[in-house]
Amino acid sequence: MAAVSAPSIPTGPDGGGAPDETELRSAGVVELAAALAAGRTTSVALLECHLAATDRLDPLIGAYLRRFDDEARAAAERLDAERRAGDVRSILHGIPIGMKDILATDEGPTTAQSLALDPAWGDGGDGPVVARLRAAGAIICGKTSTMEFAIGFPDPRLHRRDTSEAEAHKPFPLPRNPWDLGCWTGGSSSGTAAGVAAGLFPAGIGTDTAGSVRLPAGYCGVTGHKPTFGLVPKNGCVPLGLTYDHIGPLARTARDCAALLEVMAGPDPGDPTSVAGPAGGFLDGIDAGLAGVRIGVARSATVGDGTASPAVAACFEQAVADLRAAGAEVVDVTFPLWGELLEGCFSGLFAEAFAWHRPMLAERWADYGVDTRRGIAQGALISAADYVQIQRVREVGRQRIAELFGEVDLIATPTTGTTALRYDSAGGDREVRLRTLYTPPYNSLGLPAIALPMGLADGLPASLQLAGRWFEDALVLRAGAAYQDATTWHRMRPPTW
Amino acid sequence: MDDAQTTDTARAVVAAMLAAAGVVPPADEVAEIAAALPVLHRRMARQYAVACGDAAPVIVRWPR
Repeated sequence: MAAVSAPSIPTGPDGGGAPDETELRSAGVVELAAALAAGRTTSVALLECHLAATDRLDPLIGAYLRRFDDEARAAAERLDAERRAGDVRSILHGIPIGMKDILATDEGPTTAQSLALDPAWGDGGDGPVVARLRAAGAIICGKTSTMEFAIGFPDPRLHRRDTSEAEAHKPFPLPRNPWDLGCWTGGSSSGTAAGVAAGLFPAGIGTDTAGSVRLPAGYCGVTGHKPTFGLVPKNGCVPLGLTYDHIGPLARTARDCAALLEVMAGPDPGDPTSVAGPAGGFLDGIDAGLAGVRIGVARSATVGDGTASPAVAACFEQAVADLRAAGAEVVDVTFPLWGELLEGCFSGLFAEAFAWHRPMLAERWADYGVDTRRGIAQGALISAADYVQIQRVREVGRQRIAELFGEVDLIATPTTGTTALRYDSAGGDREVRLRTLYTPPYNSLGLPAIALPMGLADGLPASLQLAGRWFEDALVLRAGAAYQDATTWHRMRPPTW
Repeated sequence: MDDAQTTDTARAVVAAMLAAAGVVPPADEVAEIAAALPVLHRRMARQYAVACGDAAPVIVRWPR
């Protein structure tokens, strides 16, 4: 186990006994690992308190598509026995996690939250990321809800809005935000973010093609990290945009994300885009702080162009002040080709999505949700020439951002310009709404980026995004840890708890 | 193309492009998909402006 600081080990009301349920469900992965190592709790106790919370809360928030209670209980007992025998696999030994239902697991079928996907998809069992997490001792508690194929907006035909008989025939839960059940969680790693926020599991896995780890993390008030493209292999995951997809962790803290990434990273022969990046070490230097770190604040395309709400902009300015107070040197920068990289991400990923979905759209159009099929079908309108030009713009963007990273070590923006959308709102103009998402340029470029809770804006979580150079995930996570050492927003608990 | 209207021709072209790929949505959904064309054209115009500019690379590396 890597040596890391544990900000506060749950110690229970008497200061040294077994932690109570609230403490266990509030703690992060690193803290829980310390509690397990100290013998203050067991994997079985940890799992049971999370399962009890799930029984109570999941009918409200719809975090799970399928629970693996029996398999999880068996794993927890086995892992406790191993620990008693002195065999501790990793910092994740005995930690319950949720798994977005586009990643294949041994326990059961993968649906991608769609009626169109062949139930046999994923019959091969665990992909490399799931297998690595399992081998490291993580307990897979179940499959979490997503947007259909990680792209569509919840479809009223397919999603249960409540527990009434009239809704019971619908196949999927409607993911609801624990901060306000009338709000969406954001997507597409909806259930993983909602589950962490509501204390159903301390961490989980999502995927991010245009922001699908960072956006729900931001809207639900948790931490989410999109790794450098290629650092984490993607085989065993239903693809969306082949050159935009990333698998990443969501958890309470940047340290927790580092603990998960430590296990997830590394190439796999089944994903030719995966590469040998840094061999671990994400936790080793995570306490080094922000001294000597130069952060570029990119306001012009975000809070400076009117796409952010005043409340989110105010949270961001406070976060920038907190980063400076924590020791970072802060300078203003202009992010090159922001709009082109944002729009190019959506156009490029739709083309790539259509390439994968084309046979299923031809055969099973009616089985898709309306928003999903219409969106992916737009990919057919991107010509080969268009697609090539999108790649050329990405190349120009990579050159320009490399120049910018000659001047700064990290780039700061909000994760999104707004807080979570209400389900009963129309959401406004779609193009305007897309420009409030500050995540897609990093998918176009493949850079590592983390979303960190940075306060409440009009009562809902706001989120800070820090991005770094290719394969400098360790610095991004370290900066996130330093920010969280200086603030308490990651300790916020939602009303639905 | 005017944002406010999607022409019959545009809808026919979209239907043909989808049909060429074996995808045949109902007519009302073809119209919805075709309605995205003006936005797509605007987006692509910006991509071409950069990609055809002086800074554009001659060789594109596959993203990693």
